[in-house]
Amino acid sequence: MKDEVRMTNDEVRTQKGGSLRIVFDFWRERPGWAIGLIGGTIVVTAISMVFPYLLRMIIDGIKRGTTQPQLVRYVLYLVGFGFLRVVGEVLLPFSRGRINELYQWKVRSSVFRRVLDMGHTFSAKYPTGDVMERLDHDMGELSWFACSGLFRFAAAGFTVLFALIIMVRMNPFLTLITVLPIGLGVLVWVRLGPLVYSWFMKWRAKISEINNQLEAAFTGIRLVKSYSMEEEIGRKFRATLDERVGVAMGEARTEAKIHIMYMGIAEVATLLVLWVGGVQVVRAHLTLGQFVAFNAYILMLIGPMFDIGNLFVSGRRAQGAAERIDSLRQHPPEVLPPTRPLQPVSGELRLNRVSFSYGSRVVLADAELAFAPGRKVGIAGTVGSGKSTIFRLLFRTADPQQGSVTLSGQDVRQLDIDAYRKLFGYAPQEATLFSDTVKDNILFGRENVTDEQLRAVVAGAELAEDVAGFPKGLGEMLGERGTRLSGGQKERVAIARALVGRPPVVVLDDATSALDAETEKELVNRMINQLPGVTVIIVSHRLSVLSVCDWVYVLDAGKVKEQGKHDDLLAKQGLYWKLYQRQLITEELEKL
Amino acid sequence: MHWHGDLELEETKPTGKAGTYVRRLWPFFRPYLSRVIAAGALLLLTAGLGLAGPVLLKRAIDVDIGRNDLRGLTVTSLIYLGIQLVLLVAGYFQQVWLALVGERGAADLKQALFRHVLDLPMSFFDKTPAGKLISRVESDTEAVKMLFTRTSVVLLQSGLMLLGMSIIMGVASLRLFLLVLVLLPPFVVAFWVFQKKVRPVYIQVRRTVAETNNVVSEALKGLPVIQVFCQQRRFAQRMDDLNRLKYKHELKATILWHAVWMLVDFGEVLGMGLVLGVGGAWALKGQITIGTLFLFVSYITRLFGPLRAISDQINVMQRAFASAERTFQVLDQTPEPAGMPVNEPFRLKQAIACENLNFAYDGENFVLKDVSLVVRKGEKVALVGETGGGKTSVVNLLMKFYQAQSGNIRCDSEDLSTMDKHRLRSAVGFVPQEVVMFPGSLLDNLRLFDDSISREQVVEAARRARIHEAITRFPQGYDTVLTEGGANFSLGERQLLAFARALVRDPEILILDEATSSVDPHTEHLIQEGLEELLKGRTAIIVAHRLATIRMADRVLVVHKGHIAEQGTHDELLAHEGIYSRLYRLQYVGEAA
Repeated sequence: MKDEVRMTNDEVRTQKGGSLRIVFDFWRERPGWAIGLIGGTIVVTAISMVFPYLLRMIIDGIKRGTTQPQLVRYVLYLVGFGFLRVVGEVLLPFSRGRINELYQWKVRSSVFRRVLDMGHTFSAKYPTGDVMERLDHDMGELSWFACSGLFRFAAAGFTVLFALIIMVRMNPFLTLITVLPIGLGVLVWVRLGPLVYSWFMKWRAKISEINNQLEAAFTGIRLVKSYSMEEEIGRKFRATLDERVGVAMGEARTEAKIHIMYMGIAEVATLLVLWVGGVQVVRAHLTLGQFVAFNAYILMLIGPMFDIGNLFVSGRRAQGAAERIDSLRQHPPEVLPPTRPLQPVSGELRLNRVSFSYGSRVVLADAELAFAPGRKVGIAGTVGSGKSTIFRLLFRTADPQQGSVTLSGQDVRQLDIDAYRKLFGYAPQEATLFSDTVKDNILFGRENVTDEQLRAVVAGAELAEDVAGFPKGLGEMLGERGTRLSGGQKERVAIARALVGRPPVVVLDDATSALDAETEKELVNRMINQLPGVTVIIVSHRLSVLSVCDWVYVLDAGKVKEQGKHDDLLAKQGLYWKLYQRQLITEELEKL
Repeated sequence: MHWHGDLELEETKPTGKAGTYVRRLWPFFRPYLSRVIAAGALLLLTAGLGLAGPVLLKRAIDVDIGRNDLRGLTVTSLIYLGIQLVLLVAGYFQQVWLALVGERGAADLKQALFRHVLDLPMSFFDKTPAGKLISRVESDTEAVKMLFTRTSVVLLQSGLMLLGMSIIMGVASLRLFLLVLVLLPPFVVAFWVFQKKVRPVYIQVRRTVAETNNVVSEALKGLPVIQVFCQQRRFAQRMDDLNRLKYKHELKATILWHAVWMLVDFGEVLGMGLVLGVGGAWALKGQITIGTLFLFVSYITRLFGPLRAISDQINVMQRAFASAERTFQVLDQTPEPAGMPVNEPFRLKQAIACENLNFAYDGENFVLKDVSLVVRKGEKVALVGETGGGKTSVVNLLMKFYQAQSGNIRCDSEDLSTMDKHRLRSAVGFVPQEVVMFPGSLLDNLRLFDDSISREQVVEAARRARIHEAITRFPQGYDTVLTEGGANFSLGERQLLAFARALVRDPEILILDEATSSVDPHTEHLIQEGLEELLKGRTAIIVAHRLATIRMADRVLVVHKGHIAEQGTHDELLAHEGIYSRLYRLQYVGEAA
C-alpha cells in the first residue's frame, strides 16, 4: 500500500515538465504538417486583414463621392477576399480538428498496444474503468490541446502581430490608446486564468466527493436501510451539495467576471475609437474609412487575446491529462524480452525452486515442479496456495523473484517470448471469451488449422451440439451484441481454444467447473485420451478429476506439500486426503 | 454490458412533450422564482442595450462626425459609455443569478432524487447497478440544469437579438433590410438539413466510442489469455481499426459542421457585399447615410451568431429532455412500504415468529419454502447451512428488505408487514457480511452520521468491540478520514468496526451475518471477545460460519435448500448423522487443512 503511494509520487516527480512530450513526439514525427499548419495560419491571417482595409476604401470612396464602377470594383474585391477568407478560416480549423482526431487515433492505439503487454501489477494499479477513462476523456482533452490548443495560440499571435502593424502604420497614436485596455485585459486574464483553473479543480473534487457518497450509499444500501440512516446521509449529501453550489458559484462568478471583462474591453476599445478617433476624423487627422477600419481591427484583436491567455489554462489541464495517459505507457512491464532470443526446444518444463511474492505477500516459496513431455499432471491445493501464480510463471507473464523456469534445461527468460508462449494451450479458470465469432474465439490466432481439425476440436470439447444449435453455427457472433452463452458453453469454447492446433502443453485451470462432477470427470478423461504425447496440466476443485493424472502436486501456502499419484496420495491420509474428504461431504450435501 | 446499456440510454429519444418536462421540473426551480424574474428582466435589458452600440456609432458617424460636432461626439461617447457600464453590470448579475438558480435547482433535484432512491425497495437495487444510479443522480440532473441556465437564456436572448436587430435595420432602411432578408431562407433550410444529417453521424461516433470501450474492457479482463495466445497484435489492430472508424465518423461530422459554418460565413460575405454594393450605390446617391451602411455591416456579422446558437440549443434541449425522462423514471418508482408510523419505540416482549414463509426474489425461483421459526426474547439462534441455502434470505425478510410471497412474520403480536420500517430497524442492530465504509471520519462512520451520539459513547462502543486500540494507532484517532472503502483497515478489523457500529446503538435485537473471510489468530481472538460482548443480553439471530460462533448460540437452525432441515443444540445436531454433522465435518476437515 505504502509502496504504491511512494511509487506514484516518484512517477509524478520524474514526469513533471516532460509530461507533454507525448504531444511533442507526435509533431517531431510530422514536421511537414507543423510547417504546413503554420504557413496556412499565416496566409489565412493575412487574408483576414484585408477586409477592414477594403471597408475603409469603400467608405472613403463613398465619402469622396467616387464613381459607381469604382465602388462595384471594391465591393467585388471585398466579396472575393471575403470568400477566400471564409475558405481559409474554415479549412484551418478543419485541418486542426482533423489532426486532433488523428492524434487521438494514433496515441490511443499506441498506448493501448503497450497496455496489452502489461501484467498483474498494471491490472492491480489501474482498474478497467480507470484505463477506459484515461483512454477516453483524458485523451479527448489532450488531443484538443495537441493541435487546436497550440495552433489557435499561433493563429492568435499572428493576428495580433499583423493587426498591430497595420494599425500602427495607419495611426500610431490611436493604436496606442486603443490597444492599452486590451493589454490591460491580458494582464487581468493572466491573473484570473489560474483562478479559473483552481475553481475547476475544486469543482471536480466536489463532484468526485459526491460520486463517492453516492456510491457508498448505493452499494451500502442494506446498511443504510437497516440503521435507518436515510435522514443522516441525506443531510450529509445536502451539505456536500451546498458546498458544491458554493464552488460552482465561485467558478461562475470568475467566469462571469472574465466574460464581462472580455465584453468591457471590446466596448472600451470601441468607445476609444469612437471618441478619440471621432475627434481625429473631425480634425481630419483620420479618414472616416480609417475610423471604421480601426474599429474592425480592434474587434478582431479581442478574441485572439483570450486565446493567448487561455493557452495557460488549457495547457495545465492538458498536462494533467498527458500525465495520466503517459503513466499508462510508462508502467514497467512484468517481463522483458531477452536481448538475444533463443528458439524454444520442446522438452521438460520445470519450476526450479521458485519463489514469488506480491509486495510482502509470499505466494510461492521454493516451489519445485516438473512437467515431463506427454505427462498428465494435476495440481491441487487450498485457496490461495499459489496455483494461479504457477501458471503466470509457466506462461512467463511474470518472472520468479527467485529460482527459474526452464524448458529442456533452458531458462525461459532466454527464449523468444512469442515462440515460447505458443507452446501452450490454455483454458483459464473463468472462461474469457471476446466479442467475435465462435470460430475466431476458438482459433484465436492459431494458423494452419484445417476445417477438419477444427471440427475435431469442437467435438473433443463436446461443443458440437451447441454449435449445431446456433443459427450461424461456428460463425455465430458472441459477446455484448451477440449470443450470450451459458457458463458451461463458455467453458467448452475456452477448452476448444486450448486444444486447437494441438499445442505441446495444454493447461486447464479449473476449466470445467460449471459441469457436474460426473460429466466433468468423463469429459476430462476423454480429452486426455485424445491427447497422447501432449503435456496436460490440470487444476480442478474436484479432486476426483485428478485421478486420471500421472502425477499430482498438492500445494499449501506456496509450497509443494505432497506429490504422487491420486491413489497413493489418498492412501497417505494427508492434506490431499483431507481435501478429498471435504469434497465428498460437499457432494453428499448437494444430494441431501 | 455496462457500456452497451449506457449507450442505449443515451440514445433514448424523449417521448413526452416539452411542456410536460418543464412542468415537472419547475417545482425544483420555483423557490428561486424572484431570482429567475430578476435575471429575466436583466436579460431583456442586456439584449436590448446590446443592440445600441451600432446605433450610437451610426449616430456618431452621421450626425456628430458628419457635422464636425465635437461636443455631440463627446455626448454620444458618454451615452455609449453609460450604456456599456449598465450592460456590463447587468450582464454580470444576470449570469451569476442564473447560474445560482441553476446550481441550487439542480442541487435540490439531486437531493430529491437521492432521498427518493434511498427509500426504494431492495429489489430496485438488485436490478439497477450503482453506476447507473450515480449517473442518474449526477449526470442527468446536470443535463437538466443546462435547460434552465443555458438553453432558455440562449433561446430568449438570441430570439430577442434577432427581433431587435430586424426592427432597427427595418427602421434604418427598410429597402436594405428586405434585401438582407432574402438571404435568410436558404440558410434556415441549410441548417435544418444539416441537423438531420449530423445526428446519425454523432450516434455512429458514440457507438464507436462504446465499441472502443468494450474492446478495452474485454482486453483488460482477458489480458492473460491474450498474452498466452500471443494475440496482442490482433487486439491492437482491432483497436486501431476502431480508432480509424471513429476518426472517419468524426471527420464526417467535422466536415458537416465546417460546411455549415462555411455556408454561414459565405452568407455573411454575400450579405456584406450586397449591403456595400447596393447600399453603397444608394449611399452614393445620398439615399442612405454612411452611418446606416455601417449599422448594417455591424449587424450582419451579428445576425448569424444567434441563428447558430439557437440551432445548437435545439440539440442540447433534446438531450436534456432525454435526461429529464430518465430522472422521472427513477422518481416514479414506488418506495418501499413505510408501514404505519407509531411514535413509541419498539420493544420485544416475547418472541419473533416466522410462519410458513415462501419467498422468491424474482417471484419464480423460490429460495425459501415453507420456513417457520421462532426466536424467543433473549435467545441466540444460529442459522447455518451452505451458501445459497437461504440463510441470508431469512435475514432479508426479518429486516423487511423484501416481502415474502406468502406467510408472515410477527414481532410479539405486531405483523411485520404493517409495522413502520424505521421503528423495526431502529430496534435491530444489523451487522452485514460486507462492511461498507462511508466517506468521512471514523467517528462518523461508527455513529453512522447520527450527531446525537456522543464521542464518548462511540469510544466506549469501540472499546467493547475491541477495536479502540487499532483506532488509536492512527495519529488522528477517531477523526481519521477513511480512504477508499476503509482500505486502511484489515478485513478482521473492519468486522470489529461493524460490531462497534451495532454496539453504539445498543440495540435490543441483533442480526449478524458473519463474514467468511479468515483472519489472523490475534484478530480472531479479538473477534471472539467482541462477539461475546455484542451478544450479551440481546436477542440474536446469527448467520454463522465459524464453529466458535455456533457454540455461542442457544439453538442452531440448519437452513438447507430453502428449508429448515434440522434444529437443536450443537451437540444434539452433531449426534444425529444429518446435514449439520456433515457441515461440521466439512468445517473441521477444512480447518485442519
